[in-house]
Amino acid sequence: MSAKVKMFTLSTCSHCKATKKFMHDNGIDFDYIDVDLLQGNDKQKILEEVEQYNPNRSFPTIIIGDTIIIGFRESDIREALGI
Amino acid sequence: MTSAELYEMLKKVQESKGYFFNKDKDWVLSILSDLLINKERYGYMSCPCRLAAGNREKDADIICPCLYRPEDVKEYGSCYCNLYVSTKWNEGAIEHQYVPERRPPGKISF
Repeated sequence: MSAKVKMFTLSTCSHCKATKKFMHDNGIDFDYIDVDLLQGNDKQKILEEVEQYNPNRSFPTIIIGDTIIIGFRESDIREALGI
Repeated sequence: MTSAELYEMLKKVQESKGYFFNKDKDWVLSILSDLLINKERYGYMSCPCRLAAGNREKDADIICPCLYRPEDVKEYGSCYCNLYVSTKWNEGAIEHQYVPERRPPGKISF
């Protein structure tokens, strides 16, 4: 069974792009939010959510099931996905 | 300005300071395009790997090249974005590990 994948990303961030590509290349379904493209209250609300997972609020913040991975750490991502 | 023009401009200046572009030119040009997007958005080239506040004073430490580049290149051989690296990093003489965020959380004000 595959874990649900949710990512908080920036549209301009190279590591975020690499993470999205990795998910695509491996056929993993994922949801993502490009936080830099949000405005006002929407942005603040999402940033509060990011902070719960990652107090540094850095990107990408990746949630795979119950595992939180900060940054495009490929081996950690593979392990969490079981691939 | 195009990312290719920015590449040529920065290469000369930064190499003379001992900072080299990642040898993966596609990676570099993609980051330079994102720097140009941020220049358009904010009026300055804020680090594309970090969320900007959109205020030059608050973002001063993350305007590329960021304040954290010297320490990151010294410790990891690469800046946070893998844009600027050392020659050893490019040669593969240093392990390419993920560069953690060095910016103190207190500096983040978005």
